[in-house]
Amino acid sequence: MISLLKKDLLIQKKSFLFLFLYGIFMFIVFNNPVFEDMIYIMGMIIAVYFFLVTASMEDDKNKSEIILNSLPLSKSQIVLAKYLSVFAYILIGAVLLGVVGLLFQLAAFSLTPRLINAVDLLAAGMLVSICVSVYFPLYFRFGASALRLFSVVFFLIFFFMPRYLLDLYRTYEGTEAVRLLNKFFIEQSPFVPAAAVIFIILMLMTGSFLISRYIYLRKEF
Amino acid sequence: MEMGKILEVTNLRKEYTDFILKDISFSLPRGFIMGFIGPNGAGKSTTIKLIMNLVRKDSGEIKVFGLDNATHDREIKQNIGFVYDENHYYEELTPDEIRSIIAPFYSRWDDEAYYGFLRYFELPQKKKLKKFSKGMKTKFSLAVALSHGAELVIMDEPTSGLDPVFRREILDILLELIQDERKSVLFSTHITSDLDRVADYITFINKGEIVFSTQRDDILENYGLVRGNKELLEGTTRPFFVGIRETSFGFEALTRDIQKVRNLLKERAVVEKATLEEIMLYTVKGVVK
Repeated sequence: MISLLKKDLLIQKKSFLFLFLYGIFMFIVFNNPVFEDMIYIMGMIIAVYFFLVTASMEDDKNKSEIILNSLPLSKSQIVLAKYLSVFAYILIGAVLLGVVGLLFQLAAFSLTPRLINAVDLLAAGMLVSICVSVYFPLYFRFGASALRLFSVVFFLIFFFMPRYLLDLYRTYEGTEAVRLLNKFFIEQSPFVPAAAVIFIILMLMTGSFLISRYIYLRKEF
Repeated sequence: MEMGKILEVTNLRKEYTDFILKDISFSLPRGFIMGFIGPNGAGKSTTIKLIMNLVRKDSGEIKVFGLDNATHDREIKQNIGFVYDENHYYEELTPDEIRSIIAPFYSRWDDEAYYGFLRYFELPQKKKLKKFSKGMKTKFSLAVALSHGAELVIMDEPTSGLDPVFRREILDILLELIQDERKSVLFSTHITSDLDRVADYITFINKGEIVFSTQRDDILENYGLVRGNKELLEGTTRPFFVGIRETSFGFEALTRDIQKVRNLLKERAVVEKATLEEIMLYTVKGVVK
């Protein structure tokens, strides 16, 4: 399983550099208060998109799944490895973007983004898991190449989603419903919403995994 | 399972919209090389994919090492080495990197053997596969296939697109491999001269059906090529011919029973042993006017 993850990273060494450069670009372009809260979340979604799609395209390119399915490996393991790789990509994205953010602070540029925090990770985790829970069953059914355009549009929606959700929140901030919701969360220990988010992520990913596995077990090469 | 059969295919069927593999059966004893021949589109790759459990059969049975190939998939694949007609390994990776990914999957991975083959085939360890020639890629696949103690090596058209020197080298490796009596090789090819050197058994498939699956020497002893005057082609002789080619001068035909035809026609026709290529050609073409 670790080997499959290692494979997904080895076949795209250049992605690390790309994401690092993208991080610098992103902090400069989105350097305004509108995006400040969301910048790491958006960055991590891009990181997942980029690593995931690049790895899948490489698998597609030489029909390398023929090799994977000729090795002493179960189809379930192959599917599970793809799901687990997403968490690795979030972490890699967090580290790379966190470092870029830190560098900006240390360099004392006029532009000083805030540092990455746990809420960023949880929010990115939540959005990414909704996103890939839909993407993966389609990927295992149709392959990365067929979904190329779809995946760009689909991930872009999720890229701008945090910004949209924040707008939505601000619009309804004064309403009773939002006030009650806020009150509920403030009264709880911070671990309760965190645990709820993690629970939702796991449920979504498990459900999606079972569907993908069902599809992949019937796939022919 | 009969003892000593490393691979046993029974009534295997697979239907596609444009092609049907029609309930084929054949088996490969331990310690031998089987050549799997037939024209393009005859069903060779489909059969190999079925054995590798890459596609699902509609009916029939495939036993490898005496085990059902689908229910014991992982166990069986520990012991199978595979080489396909195209490179499916990651082109962005080097042999060193591929080793680091693949080796952990095999319980009996042998680094010494792997690096030994890389040296023997003169393959650079740290060069990306995309820089390899077609022949180098095939050799690389073979190095992986032979580095985890596999008892059955399955190869789909490994020699296609390779020059004669490469082909010879690969065939020599196979001969060396089966010096170990536990090991067997199944390889498909449409180059019949590959089989002259190495195959102990030959399975000939055409249009999704097995024409024959038997020892090579049996085939070469029994098949014959008959040349003669057109008058010889009549009701009593025709049933002996598998494929007939008629020309303005006479005819040339393939027979499965060289002895009978010799006795029947005596000096009236020239009867010679047929080569595998002629057997394949006449069987595939049938009657050509």
